[in-house]
Amino acid sequence: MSYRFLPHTADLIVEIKGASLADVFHDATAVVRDLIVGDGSVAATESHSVTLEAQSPDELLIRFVRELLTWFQLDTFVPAQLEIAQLAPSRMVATIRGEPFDDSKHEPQPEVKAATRHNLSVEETDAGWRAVMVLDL
Amino acid sequence: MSSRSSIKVSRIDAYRWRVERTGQMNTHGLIFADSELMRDLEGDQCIQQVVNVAHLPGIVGPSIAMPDIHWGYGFPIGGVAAFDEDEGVISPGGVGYDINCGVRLLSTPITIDELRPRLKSLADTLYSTIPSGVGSSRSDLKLSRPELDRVLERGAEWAVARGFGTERDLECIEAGGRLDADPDCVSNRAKERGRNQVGTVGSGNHFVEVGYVDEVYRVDAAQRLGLSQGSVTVFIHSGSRGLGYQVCDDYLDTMVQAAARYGIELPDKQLCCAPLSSKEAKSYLGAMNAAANYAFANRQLMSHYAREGLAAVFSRETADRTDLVYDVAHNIAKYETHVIEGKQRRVCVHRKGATRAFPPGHPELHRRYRDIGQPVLIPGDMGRYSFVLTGTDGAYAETFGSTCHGAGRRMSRHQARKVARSRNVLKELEKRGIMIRAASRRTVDEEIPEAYKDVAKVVDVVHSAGIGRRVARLRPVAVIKG
Repeated sequence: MSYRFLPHTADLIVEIKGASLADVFHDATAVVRDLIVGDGSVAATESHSVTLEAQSPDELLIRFVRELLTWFQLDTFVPAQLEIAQLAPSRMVATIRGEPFDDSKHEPQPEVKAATRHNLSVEETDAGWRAVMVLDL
Repeated sequence: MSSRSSIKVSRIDAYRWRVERTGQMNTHGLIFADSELMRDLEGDQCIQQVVNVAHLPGIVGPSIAMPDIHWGYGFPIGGVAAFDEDEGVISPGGVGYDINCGVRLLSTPITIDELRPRLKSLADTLYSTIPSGVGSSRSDLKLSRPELDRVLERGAEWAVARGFGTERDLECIEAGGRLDADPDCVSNRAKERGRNQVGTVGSGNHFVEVGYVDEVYRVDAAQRLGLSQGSVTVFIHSGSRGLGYQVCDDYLDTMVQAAARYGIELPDKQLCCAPLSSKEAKSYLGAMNAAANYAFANRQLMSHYAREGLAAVFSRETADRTDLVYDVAHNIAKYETHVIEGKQRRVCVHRKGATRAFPPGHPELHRRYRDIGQPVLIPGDMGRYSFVLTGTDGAYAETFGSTCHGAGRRMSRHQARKVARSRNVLKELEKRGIMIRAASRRTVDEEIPEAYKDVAKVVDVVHSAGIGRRVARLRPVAVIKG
């Protein structure tokens, strides 16, 4: 499983590749952590639970990333690990462990305003799963 | 739907390009740019986005792009589109996440020579009194829910009523700093996100910038705006913060379903929309205007704290004589009346990364500026300059009273960081006489001046094309970034 950022003039495109849909969500968690604290380490001292439903895997992914971004803005929660209890293309039940943003070890990064639906895709390919998402910075 | 390969662009004149109507487009595209700025657009998807907008139902006139156009999501950034009130649609993606992101300019009574010995002190004071950076919040102003609803309903009026500014300020804000809003259309989560962010800068390209007037192109208009050669200014760029992002997210969900229900085919899901006559559109307008009011209040509070900073470093009299020049939105959708093919029509104008630029005599302008036209504020990058313009008859006739909004990025953030990696950007700018105070080094690296187009070239195009008229140029000396 892996993710990379692709060039976009004003915003950010992230491409995630994984063997399974679960990999895509694990990497999406890592992407958000990366965008909030860069290389900084994140401890798993607090947790948030989430139950999400959507009509398609791309809608499920956007809802998930939005949740992570909102928790950061509301409680400065930085995600570290995703524990999936249930995952289907249209439903997810999971716990996300992490910690509040800590000035002493985390360097502030530019704000991610939102996850967009522009060119959004989550697809199963011959090589596994691939997701593309544009984030508004 | 049109594919990229079918896009046909032809030159109309030195500053205008036409994107031909093909496939299921409902109109053509019109791009304002010179040859050099057009070359900058190669390799990204912004012209495709001009084409995509032209597919939306009820679009009136062309799908327009300003010379600072760049690749966004849904609409291009720098896009303008108007929609018929009966046949047209409203699209949250045509406004953006940062609803009523905008700029305001303050003129001070001090000169650059008077400022220089106290510049460091002023930069430090502003950095400490106006919170900046990702998720920045005010510990001294957490609003109760009823108070937040009053912000959403009254905008800058709320701030002035609370003592954060003057009645005169309200005369110098687009729409008087208050749009017709319905706070009940804003979700609880959006309100929660907005409770302690009024009066904060945020991150990315937002800023508080101290500068001075270094060139005056029209002395009469500049004098009316309180700007003279060497006078010090404070430029503020921010929007509706987390509350606005959440309103956009909430209504994108609504509009994805609405578009399907009303049978609207979309070339990009981010352009999801609903007919202006629908209940979904009315709810979005109520919520969007509430978020816009939040942004007006946010910039009003930031002005208050900028004045307090001037009072601390100079004098109370300096603060009291610091006037608001103007405040404009550059991410918004508004009902306006325009003359189309000789007839007055009410249309919903979406400006995403574009500024209203109403001409002299327009009845919506306060009498203070009615004879010179609406002041238009165009920030550049943090190393070069910004411009003050006024609106024109040309803009009213050709672009639904709109012009550009800034320099426009030419380099991706990743590319900018790569270019900045081995350099000390703060030191470089300091050598050029510009102090930077920033919450994040990464923001500074991503915002290096060369990451942006030269705003002077953008302004040259709008001035030469007659959709904006230059008044003055400002140079930065201290910039507070997120």
